[in-house]
Amino acid sequence: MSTNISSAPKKGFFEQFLLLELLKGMWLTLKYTFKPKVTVQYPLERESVHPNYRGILRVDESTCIACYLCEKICPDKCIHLEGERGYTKGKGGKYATYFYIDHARCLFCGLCEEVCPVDSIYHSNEYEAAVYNRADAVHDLRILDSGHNIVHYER
Amino acid sequence: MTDFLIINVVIPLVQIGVLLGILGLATGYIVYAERKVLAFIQSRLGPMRVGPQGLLQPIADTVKLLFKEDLIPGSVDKPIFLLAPVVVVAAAFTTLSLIPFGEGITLLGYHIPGVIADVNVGLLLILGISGLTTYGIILGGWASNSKYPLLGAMRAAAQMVSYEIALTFSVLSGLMVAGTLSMVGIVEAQQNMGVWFVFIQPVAWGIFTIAMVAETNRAPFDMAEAESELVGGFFTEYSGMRWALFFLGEYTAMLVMAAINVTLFWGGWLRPFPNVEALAFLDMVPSGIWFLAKVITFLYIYIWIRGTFPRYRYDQLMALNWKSLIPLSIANLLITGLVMILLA
Repeated sequence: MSTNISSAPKKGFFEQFLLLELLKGMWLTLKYTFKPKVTVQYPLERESVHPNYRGILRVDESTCIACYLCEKICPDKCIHLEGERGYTKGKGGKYATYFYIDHARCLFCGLCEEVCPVDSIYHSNEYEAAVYNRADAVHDLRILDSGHNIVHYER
Repeated sequence: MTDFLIINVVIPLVQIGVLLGILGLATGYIVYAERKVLAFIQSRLGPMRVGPQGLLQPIADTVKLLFKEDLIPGSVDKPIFLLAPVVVVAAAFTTLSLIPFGEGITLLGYHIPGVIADVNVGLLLILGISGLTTYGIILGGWASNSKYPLLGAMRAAAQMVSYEIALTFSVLSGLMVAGTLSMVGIVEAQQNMGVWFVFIQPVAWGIFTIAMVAETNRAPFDMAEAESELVGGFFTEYSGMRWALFFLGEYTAMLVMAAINVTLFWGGWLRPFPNVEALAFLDMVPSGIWFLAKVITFLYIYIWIRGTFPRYRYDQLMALNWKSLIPLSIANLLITGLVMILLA
């Protein structure tokens, strides 16, 4: 015959007969029925992310010195930039003439942000990076500086 | 002659029309309530997007199902495949005509009873017709010509036939106290005795409540559907409106079982403490509202149970019925008979 391998203590007759354990379970679900809900209704409500969140990359055009450190350290080779010396941007030294980041390749590791000597490249808190084709995922300097166009849901 | 026509033709037809009209909507909203309550139990919100608080969701669902392609798989046995959902729905709707919803009202000099057909063997007829649902399920599963529906249908048939025994025996214990099979008579008996039968037959009520959940193939006894193991059980191959008919049948069966439970054990349309004069002000509430409130409570309990317990294993399900519920219900029946002889 089969042996009882369950280690649960044997219940008394009345405990079994009156289904007390089941009632306990139902009491628990009843309590949860009236507890606050955890759902965030995404397009209507948004959760605020942690300030350290590594979202879409942004570049502050006015402070960038085109040192190429971010391009060099990037493990995915998703950052491309060119710099030139000049005074046109209202400052001396180098500035970036073009700057592309391919967000389809970026793995959001944060190395570029850490290596940047002037804190010009940084992860923003934006996370809605969905695009319709891969070309749109490549952000140029204008988008990187002012933020890409996120269409927010409206009813 | 006109009186005869009005009483025997017009009033029942109007009642049937109203009932069917309400039922289509009510079923949709039971599904809505189920989704909402399950969501609340799981700390979610449930449907929220269609209308305020998602209140128009059932209508959107119905429209979607109506406009879906009427798909019939190539391998099915077509006539039986088409017949199966009709059997399920017809069986469920027929039983509904025997449920007394209230005391009845007098309108334009005619008394409109709260029940479409007050048959003197009402409860027997309900149990008999709702037993036909098994045919619809097994026909659907067999005609689908596919393994999951067949397994689901076999499970459903075995389960429903087994649980019908415990269900009927527990109903019998209640009937012995009432002394009548008429649904209206049962409520009147409770009024005359001044007590709901649940206080006389608590064990029978417990067995009935467990058996009714199993009889309607609801969680935790939903072996017939068992989404996680059988895909969709006996209606795996069905889609669109035919699938909706199965659903309509299932939810109507839930409603009918809840109504039987209320009528037999919880005093039907009677207010609490039906013979206590001090509570006569409760008669202000129409009898139909009392009945509906009780039925809705039981529908809530159905959903509540589904949200709480995991599904039974198939052998456990059968063991529960054959080793616990049936012996218990027979013992309860014998004790009821003994006590009645001793008291008489």
